[in-house]
Amino acid sequence: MSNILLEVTDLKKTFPISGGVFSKKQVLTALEDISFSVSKGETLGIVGESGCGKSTLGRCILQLLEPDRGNVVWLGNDLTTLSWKDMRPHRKDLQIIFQDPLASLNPRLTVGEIISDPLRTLMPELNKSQRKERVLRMMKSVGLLPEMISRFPHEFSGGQAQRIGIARALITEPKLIVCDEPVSALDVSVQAQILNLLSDLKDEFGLTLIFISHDLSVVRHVSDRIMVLYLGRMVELAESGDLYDEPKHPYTKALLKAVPVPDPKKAREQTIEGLEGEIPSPINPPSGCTFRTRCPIATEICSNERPKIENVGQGRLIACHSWKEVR
Amino acid sequence: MSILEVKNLNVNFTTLSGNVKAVDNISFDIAKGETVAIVGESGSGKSQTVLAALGLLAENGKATGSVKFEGQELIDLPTKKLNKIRGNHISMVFQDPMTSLNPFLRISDQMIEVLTLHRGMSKSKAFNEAIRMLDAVRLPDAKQVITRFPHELSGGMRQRVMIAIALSCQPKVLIADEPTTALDVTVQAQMLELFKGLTKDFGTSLILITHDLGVVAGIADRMMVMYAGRLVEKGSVDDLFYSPAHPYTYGLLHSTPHVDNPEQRLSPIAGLPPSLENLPSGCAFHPRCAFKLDRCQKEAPVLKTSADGRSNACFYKGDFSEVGEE
Repeated sequence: MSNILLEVTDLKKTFPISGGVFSKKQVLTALEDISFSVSKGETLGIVGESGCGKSTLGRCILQLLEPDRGNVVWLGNDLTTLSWKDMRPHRKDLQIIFQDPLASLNPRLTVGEIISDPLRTLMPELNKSQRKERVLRMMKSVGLLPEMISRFPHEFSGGQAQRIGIARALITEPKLIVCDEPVSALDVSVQAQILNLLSDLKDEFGLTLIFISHDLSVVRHVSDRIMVLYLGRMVELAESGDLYDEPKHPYTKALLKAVPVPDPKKAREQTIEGLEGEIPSPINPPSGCTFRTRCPIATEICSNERPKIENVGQGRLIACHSWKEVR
Repeated sequence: MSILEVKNLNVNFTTLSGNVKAVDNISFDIAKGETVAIVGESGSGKSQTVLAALGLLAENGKATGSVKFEGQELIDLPTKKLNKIRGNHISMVFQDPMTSLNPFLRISDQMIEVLTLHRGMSKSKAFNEAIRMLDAVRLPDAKQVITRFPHELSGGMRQRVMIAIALSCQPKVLIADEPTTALDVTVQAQMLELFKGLTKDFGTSLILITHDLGVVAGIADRMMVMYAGRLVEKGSVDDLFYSPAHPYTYGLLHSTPHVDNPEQRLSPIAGLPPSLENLPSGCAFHPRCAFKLDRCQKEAPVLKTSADGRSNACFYKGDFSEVGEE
């Protein structure tokens, strides 16, 4: 299909863990067997609990981390094979918004310098006045006042700092933006402002978004399709309506049940059949299906064999031996 | 009978840029076995309210007013007497399980200290009691875990240890300051179940501080909404969720994305929370309020309790559905 922007196949990323002098070197597998594609104009949500590899995935897509194996094909070019220099021209199209808005802004630069920085390196053909004009236009789009251009990051609250981060990501007019927990650090009322802003900007600039978050309500709100990760593996991927209405993987099901509903009557009826235990360590994950230690329907096969990713129709992917038994 | 009674509590901080009023004239009470949630955004004074009640304010903070525990006044009580109540009858669970445990001490040492100090147990008896407490908060493998150091435990395990310590003196009031914010959803669900069990089985009263309305809906009986150091609305959870009377409560509810209703565009509250050093005149919420009247700029509305037991500090008495998003 021609409207596929990004195609990721068989991605794997490991990190070496250096032990002491005498201990064996260990390897942490952050991501394994990740394959998916992103079409133009859509928002793909990536959810999972801490340590599931969602941020690593975002960084691997942008080549901020080099994957061990697999391909990241962006508009026909395999980014994993490109040198740092050959990657440059693509950086203009691929941008990122970070979680901690204040920590991701250089405290010694003014707002204007921060926002125009990507232009200096990625679009050197623009002159100073063109850059400034673009910065002012972008500041207006994200709801910052023009007089803020010469202020420093510490003068801003979290919500406004995130607007600066968004302006910086958008200034090169990218095609795809990875949003890595963009609203997690913000207060509820401000979080809603930023979510609305992202959806407006998406329409205005025709953006494609990869939206990483641990907050299932937020992901549901913004995403067209959602991928659920658990311990570095994809467990389910589906249209967001299908996923929330009828989760098929036992982990997806449990995760959705654990989300607190802001509605007292529904919350009282909701029985929390909570998952037992916690996420195992990714350094020493369980054999077979990594979820089996917490899975209510695990059988023998789950500890011996890793479930394959199955296409069950309507673009839905599931990695579970017994998903048909989930009711 | 209420177990904790807070009346006209004020908290002031002396800072380099002058006096800052973090908590402004707050009154509430909590009954035995009841769960009350304090809701608000960062800087609204929700944590300072409970810290003041326990005499745990920072050096430059000063609390005035009255906080009575079973009739005994806590404000300005000498530390020695306060220590008999803190930990014994009222305990607190802090937000960050990473930093509230001492990294140099084993879990056993930290738990035994509390039990020997407050309950006068011998060391060996305290050790057994500590294991019993860890079992009670459903920490798997308690005998093993108790010999470890905090860094060897996961976030969820540490939070369970914190709760076990807070509960080890069987307090009558448990204050939990954002107890699940640092945890994953599946672990959060386990913790909330644990808290629910406590109030039901032991009649513990719970004060829950949170910014997550989903958490409030599932666990609290009553809730209080704070904005810029003031209480703006107070009432039963059902009343406030289904018919909010203050525009800020309404705004918070409509800024929260619902899993079941994703298509709806969020209606955020415009603007940003004010700085406490430079509060707007009149009602502190008026610059962000879509329903403000002329008098809101000049006069601060007083919290008034109506016949149905709800309290609300707002001049606007109309419907909220008429004005949409700005």
